[in-house]
This record gives sequence, C-alpha cells and structure tokens, in this order.
Amino acid sequence: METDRRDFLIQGAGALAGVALLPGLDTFARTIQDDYPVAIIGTGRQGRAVAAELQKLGAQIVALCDNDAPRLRSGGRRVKDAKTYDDADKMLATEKSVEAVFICTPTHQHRALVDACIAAGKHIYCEAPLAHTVEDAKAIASAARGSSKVFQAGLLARSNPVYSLARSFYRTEAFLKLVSMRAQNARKDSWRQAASTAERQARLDWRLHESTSTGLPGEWGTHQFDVFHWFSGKYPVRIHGNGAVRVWDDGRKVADTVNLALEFDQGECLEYQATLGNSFGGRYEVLHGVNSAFKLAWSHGWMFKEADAATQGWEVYANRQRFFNDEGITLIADATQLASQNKLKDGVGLPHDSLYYGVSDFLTSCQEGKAPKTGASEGFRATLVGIAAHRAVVEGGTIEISPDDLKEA
Amino acid sequence: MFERGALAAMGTRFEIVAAGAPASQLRASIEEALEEISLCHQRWSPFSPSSMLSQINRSQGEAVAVDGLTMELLSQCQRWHDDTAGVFDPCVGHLLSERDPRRSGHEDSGILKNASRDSTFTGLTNVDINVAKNSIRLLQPYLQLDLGAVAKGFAMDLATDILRDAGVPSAFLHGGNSSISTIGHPPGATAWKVQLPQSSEVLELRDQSLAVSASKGQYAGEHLLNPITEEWIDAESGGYWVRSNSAAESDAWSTALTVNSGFSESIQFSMPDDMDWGPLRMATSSNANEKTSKVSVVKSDHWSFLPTESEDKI
Repeated sequence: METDRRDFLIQGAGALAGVALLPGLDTFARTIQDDYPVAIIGTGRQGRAVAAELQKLGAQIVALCDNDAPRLRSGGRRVKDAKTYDDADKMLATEKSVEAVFICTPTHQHRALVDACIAAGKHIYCEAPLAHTVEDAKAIASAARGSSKVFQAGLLARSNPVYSLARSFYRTEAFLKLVSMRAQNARKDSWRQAASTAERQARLDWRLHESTSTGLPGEWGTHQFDVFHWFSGKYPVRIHGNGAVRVWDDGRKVADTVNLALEFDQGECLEYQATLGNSFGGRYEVLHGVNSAFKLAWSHGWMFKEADAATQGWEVYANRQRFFNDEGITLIADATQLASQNKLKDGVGLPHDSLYYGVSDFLTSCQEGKAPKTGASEGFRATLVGIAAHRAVVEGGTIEISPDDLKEA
Repeated sequence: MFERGALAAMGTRFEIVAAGAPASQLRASIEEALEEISLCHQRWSPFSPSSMLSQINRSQGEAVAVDGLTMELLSQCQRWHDDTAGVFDPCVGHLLSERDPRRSGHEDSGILKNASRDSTFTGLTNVDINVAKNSIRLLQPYLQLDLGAVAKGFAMDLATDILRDAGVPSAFLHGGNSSISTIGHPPGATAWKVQLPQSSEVLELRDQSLAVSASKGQYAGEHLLNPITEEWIDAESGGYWVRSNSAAESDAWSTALTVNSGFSESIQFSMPDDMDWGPLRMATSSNANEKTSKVSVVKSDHWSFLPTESEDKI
C-alpha cells in the first residue's frame, strides 16, 4: 500500500522515515472488568487525561478530588456521575467502595497522599516523578513495599506497545550493541498555569518554585530517562548538566532550557535536551546500535537499519516510504493481517495515547493481582535520576550517582 | 495590552486575544485554552486514525466506550438533531469520506458502501448514545460520524471556560474566522464588533458567541450535505449567522439553517428563544475561491490586532 507524503504528515509521523515498529492493533484488546471503582486525586490536565482513558476502558470513576475549585469543576464536567471532594482524607473515608486511586497532584504532594491511600487499603497509581526530594521518594517506595496492594509509578514507556516491540528488537542482532543515546523534549510553553488570583497562581505554579520543582529534568526527563533504564537495564553513574532561563525571563529561577549528559558505567552516554522555548522536534528518544537505530516518539517508533545489517524476514511486509532524502520502510507487526483488512495505514500510529496503556496495565494488575510493569522500585530509581539531573542543572556541574544511591532503603 | 496566541487545529486556525490582566496570567490562560482545543482536535479529528471519532467510525457495530466530553458533545448533537427535525445531522462522515480519502475509515466505507443500505436513512436515530454506559454504538455498518460542524464551537466553549476560570476579563476567540466566542469587551469599547461577510452589517458581541455558515465552502464549491437525501447542498443557496451564548450552539444552528435553505422544501423547526440569527449576503463573484463564510472584526483605535483580510490567507 502506498503512503504518500501528505498521509505521512497527517499521521504526525515526524521528519524521519524508517521502519515503523508497531504491534497489531487487535493484539491489544483490553479485558478490564466493567465498572471497576476508582478515584482520582488531582483534576488538573493530567488528572483529566487519566479520567478520559479510564472512561474509554470502562472503569467507574466514583470520586474526584481537588482542592482547587475550578479544576474540580472541570473534572466534574467530564465525569458527571462522580462525587467531588476538596479533601482527600474525606474522600478516602467516605468512598469505601473505591478499589484504586490515581494520584495526579503536584509532585511535592505525592508522599502524603500515598501514605493516606495505603492506610485506606487502596491500590495506587502515582504519577512520576514520585517525589521532589530523594527523602520523599524513598519514603514512598518504602511505604509501597510494605503494602499488599498494587503500586504503579506513572512511567508510561514500559506499558507502551511501540516501546515494547522496539525493546524486543533491542535485544537481538537487529540492533546488536548500544553505541549511544539521545533524547529531547521541546515545547513552546511558559509552564505557568492559568489562575484568577495571585494566591492561586502561586499554588498552581509549583513547577516554577525552587522549593517544589524538579525542573525540566525531573518533570519531563524522568519519563524519558526511564526508557533508557528499561532498554539497557542500567542507570547512569554521573550526570553533567547546565541550563538557563533563555526565553521566559519573568523572574523565575527554574531553567527553561537544559542540556544534560548522563554517563553510564561502560562509557555509554545519553545526551538530553529540554526546552520551553521552541517546539521543534517535540519529544523523542533515539538509541543508536551497531546494526540499527531506534527513534521512539511515544505514539510512533522507527528503526533505521545500517546498510551492512542483515535483512530481516519481516521486511517483506513493510511499506516503502520516501521522506525528504530518506527512503525507509514502515513495518507493522501483524502486517499481513492488517493488509488483508486494508488497514495498514490505520496501524502506523498507536490507536490510543500512551497513558491508555499505562492505566490499562494498572487496572489489570489490580484485578488480577499481578505485579505492575512499573513498580515503586522502578519509579524510585527514575525519580532519583531525575532529581540528580535537576541538581546538575541547578549547580551547573556534575553529580555522581553511586549504587548505594539507587537503593531504596 | 493584549496577549495573543494561535494554533492550527481542526483544519483551521484558532486564535485567542486577551486583555485586562497581567501579561503572564494572560499568556498562561491562552496556553491552557489552546491546549484544550488541541485535545479536542485529537479527540474528534476525522483525519487521525487514533482519534476517538475514528475509533467510533471503525467500530462496525460494536459499542465503544468514550470519554466524558465526547459523550457530552454527542448528547448535544442528539438534542440539535431532534430540535431541527433531523436537519442537523453529524451522521454524514461516510458521505464525506467518499469525497476525501484522507478521512479515517475511508477504506471501511469503501467496503461497506457496497453493503445494502437502509433506504430510510434517519441520521442519529441510527446511533445508540448510551449515557449510562458512556458508550456509542453505530447501528448501521456503513455509518460514520463527522463532527466538523460543531467540534470547533464546542472546543471554543471549553477554551472560553478556561479563560473565565483564570479570571480573564476580556477575550476574543475565533476558529477560522467563522466561529467566535467572546468574554467581556475590549478595553476602550463596550463590545466586540464583528463585520459579517460581504456586508457592512456589524454585530456586537459581549459574553456571546457567533457562527457563520455558508453553502459555499472555504476553498471551493459545495461542502454541506443534505442528510435526508444525501445530496450536496447547492453552493449558491445561501448562508446564515447565529448569535447565542455558546459557540457550539451557534455552530450547530447556523449549519442547520444553511442546510435547510438548500432543501427544495424547507423543513419546519423552531429556533431557540435565546439566540438571534439572520441570512448572510452571498457573494456574486464567480471566483470559486472567494471566502464567503469569513467574518472580519471591526477595528477601533484601541484594538486593531486581528488579521486583516490579507493576513487571513494564512
């Protein structure tokens, strides 16, 4: 099937063509128990996004909680049958039927809420980073370990079907050996929150306050660093960082543009850049191997083969695409089946947002009593790396990470 | 004095200008409002295979669990459909797909259009909107939804709510210059003034919305469908503007009025009491590219920030 340039752009595939790695859409049919009772604490953007995915999965959102009235009202509009609370303790004391709670509040509020949810006997999905300090992150991981309930950290790569498939290639001759890594997250956004009063503005702008923020490395980088942790099975041993307020010179101290180099134990290096000043390229991660490179962009993924790499059997099913000066092939797992249904084009991007798969995995773990794909330990270590990277930027220097630092206790 | 932001989404350009608060507050409010519009685009784009709308259109009779806003919008569509005796109808996606292969589900419609079609096509009565289960089910296999007539206005209503919650006292939002929402009035004036296309008529808006719909499309010829006969509305048949308290309402009713004007025998329905409306003056030019459904904002000494006619060719 031919895919022209316009289609490629419409599908948001980005500026590179290659081998798109995607599992068959039908492979990921979900079997979540209908009306599984859950609650959400924090109904800002992330909480509302979680609510939308829960609704698609058929879960029953029993209660919403936020101490910010406009946000709670906005959440309530989207989940009409949910009871709304401005106090988490009151919600937990009242809503006994709730099995699982999604914590989608500002990072520095996670610890107290995790403790409250564990005390109430709830399964917990906690957004990442888990905390804004190492002390809080350790406390959360420790509390989760002591609970008999499921605790999932909101690191979505490990639940993402595109990333899972890419990782399966990472461990084969198709990739062979890791050479280097690169990632970026670029948006044009002030990172300020819309607020009607100075008091509310100060409360909602927690990401811009030095006392509560983990900066771009923590709030964004944590999610992307974990991709490399998961693929390589390693964590960095040192981080070099620098950053500055390049665009939003409004009195903030938290850098709006950062550059990082995360070094691993055998000389591997992850170069990372994040900015609020320019959106070019968006968010992606690249892994360079001896035989190929992966570019992963959450809803899409591509493999770029070296000319001397062996031909893979699956390439016969791939679409050929020309984009700028590159010609690549688009591969979709189950391509034969999709082609027979004339749905190859549908399969180029994931049918759902990454969040859908993370939420779905969590609900499955809760209902089946299985360990989550991203537990408290993975969440703790990724958070620790994010906090260290933020420190490297703030100090404009190098932060060493020892194996002991990565221990939860 | 004014902060301004823009976004390309839903096949058009959205723009927000706001005033009356500190610049950083206005900027943050505009960013959040535009992000909400972007999320609406992701939900309801017929061009993206991963959108909620595309998933519904691919469902082939299976119930699809949807998010709360999709359910709210489709429930409103049901009301508009009922109130206009079926003239307003979002169940035309499969017909639009036949003209535009970029729309998702096109392959499916190509397969399914050969299936026997119910000769009594009755629009949204062929869609099971289950509010209790939060699910949508298309009852006819060939049917596909298209929310293009109202998604823009609905997104702007959400964006307007965000600006209001953020304490923005004065704002003007437009999507493609054909759907408009306002908060308060511009500094130095008592209302936002909007000039209708091909006309010297000026409408005032203050905490109100306006939509214009014309039978001639933005770029070429006919673009509206008669949902009863499944025929395209004659491009020269006319257009309407509607002013109300909601951009989605204005979108829906202006579309219904325009579609109805293309019927050989108009269908009778009553307009709500809380809105006013009128016909658009149609261009006499034979230039197919002439934009007949674009409003322009009247400038004053105090606010002259919206695109001029020449700038509007972005």
